[in-house]
Amino acid sequence: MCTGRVDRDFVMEAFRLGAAGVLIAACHLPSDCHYISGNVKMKVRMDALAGMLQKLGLSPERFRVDYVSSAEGQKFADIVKDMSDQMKALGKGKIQAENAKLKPFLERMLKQKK
Amino acid sequence: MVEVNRHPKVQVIANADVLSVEGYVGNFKVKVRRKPRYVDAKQCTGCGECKDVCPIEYPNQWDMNLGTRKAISIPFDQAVPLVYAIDRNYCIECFKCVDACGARKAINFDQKPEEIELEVGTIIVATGCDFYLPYDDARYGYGKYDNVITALEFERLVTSGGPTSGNVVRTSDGKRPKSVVFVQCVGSRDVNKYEYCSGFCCMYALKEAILLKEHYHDDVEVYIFYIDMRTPFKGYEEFYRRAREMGINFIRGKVSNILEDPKTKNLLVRGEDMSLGEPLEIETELVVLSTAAIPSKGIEELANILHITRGSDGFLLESHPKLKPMDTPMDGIFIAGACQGPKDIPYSVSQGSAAAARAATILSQPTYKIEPIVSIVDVAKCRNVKAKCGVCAKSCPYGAITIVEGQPAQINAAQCHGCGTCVAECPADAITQKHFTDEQIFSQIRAALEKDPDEKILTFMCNW
Repeated sequence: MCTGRVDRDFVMEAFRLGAAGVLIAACHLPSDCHYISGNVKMKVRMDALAGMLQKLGLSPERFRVDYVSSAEGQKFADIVKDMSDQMKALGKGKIQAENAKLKPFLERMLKQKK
Repeated sequence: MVEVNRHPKVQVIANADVLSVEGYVGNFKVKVRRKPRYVDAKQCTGCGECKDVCPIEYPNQWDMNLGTRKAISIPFDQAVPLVYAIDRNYCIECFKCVDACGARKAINFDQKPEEIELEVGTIIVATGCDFYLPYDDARYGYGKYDNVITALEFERLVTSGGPTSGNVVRTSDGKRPKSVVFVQCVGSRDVNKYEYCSGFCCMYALKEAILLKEHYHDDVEVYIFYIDMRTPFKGYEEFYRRAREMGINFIRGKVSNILEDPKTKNLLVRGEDMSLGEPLEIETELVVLSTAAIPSKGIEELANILHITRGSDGFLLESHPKLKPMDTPMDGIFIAGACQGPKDIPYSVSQGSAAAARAATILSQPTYKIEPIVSIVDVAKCRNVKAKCGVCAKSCPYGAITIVEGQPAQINAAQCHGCGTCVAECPADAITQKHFTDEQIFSQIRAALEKDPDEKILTFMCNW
């Protein structure tokens, strides 16, 4: 399975359930993808989704797309640490407030598809 | 090479381009365009009488442009197949070769490019590598100073079959150099150029240095500037030791720049001796650069044709660095030799044999096992039945999905590699991936976020 498999619905579902953050870690652009071009397709799809979520009031740092190869353990640890620091800086209150605001939209979006 | 060419089950198609590759493991259709040689391969006996009468000479690429070849020629005496070819860029059409060929009638100026279609079960890619030419690096003066050459050029000079019959000469005055400096890691192991170690340059520099010493003994001074001498495999360390015992000077350190004396065309090599911690200047008559092995010129195009991937260094990417070093993500396509990464002869031969064995394993079995994680189409939901869609086919990196108007999308399970991109792209949710279904992933998301979701970061990563 490739990050190309990551459906917009998965990200929306995670935020609907109240996740603090969502991180998608893909292979490096442009030619390092084991599945040739799945990461490129994912990038296009997630850029559009990130734009939409931010318009609905999501703090941009809560949804992140990054590129980590299987040999870069340290880079992955750094990204996760960086992101968890950002979440702490935002604070639980803000995250919960944003999620409450987002929830009706996301529920509608997810229901429409099913 | 000759033995391979004579094998009844081996067909060699030389001087040709691969135009397209379609299909999947066991059923590849390969389109090849054979360029015209203007010589009939069946009639040509390889006698070379045409070459003798040809009046045109041009630089021979095989000799790194140090020697010449005729407009009708073979690149070198042992060339396979032994069929002469005319380079129409240089031919003046005097037709002397036609007269020399006489009754054999092998020369045919009307030959056209020929397209050949092949049906094959497996493919092995062994396209090799190119070498970095440091024209853009002013430190070395390559291309500017006559007596700065690359190791491959030196190799042509020192071989008995080369343009100088094995006499090492300077390109400026044709005299034999009394001192030679080898510079290692030109371009390679350099974060500004090519980060990787090319791996075999230490060994060939040692070989060239030893050859020089064997030819000219104490009449030549040899210096090798190196960062690390890398001699890890069987017999290599002993070879290195032999070089040191022959009186070759090893200097640990990088060359900072090279200057030319305009009168004598001698070179002043400046660098640092790291062992002594002192700057160093050596006046020498010839400088040989061991340049980085780099991905070959057409590799990107070839990777696109074959649907195989390249690593960040540009070389073809293996399926798994340890367990599948000659497999590619495409089943039935294997890689061998320096197209996968720089490597020396024994390593290339091992990988070539291994790739051949992997290919033969597939061909000798009646069935082929694929990964079970393929995508399937829910025919009832597919939009392509009523309207034009085809989003899935566009997203598939492997070309596994075929779209026919008015019919649901069809996925060829043998071509599908289970990336799942089509599943996420499908606007009608009509495609599911076995073992990574939406239900399964949603359940995982729900389970992961069951407790304290606002303290968690959910991460999606690829998995292969």
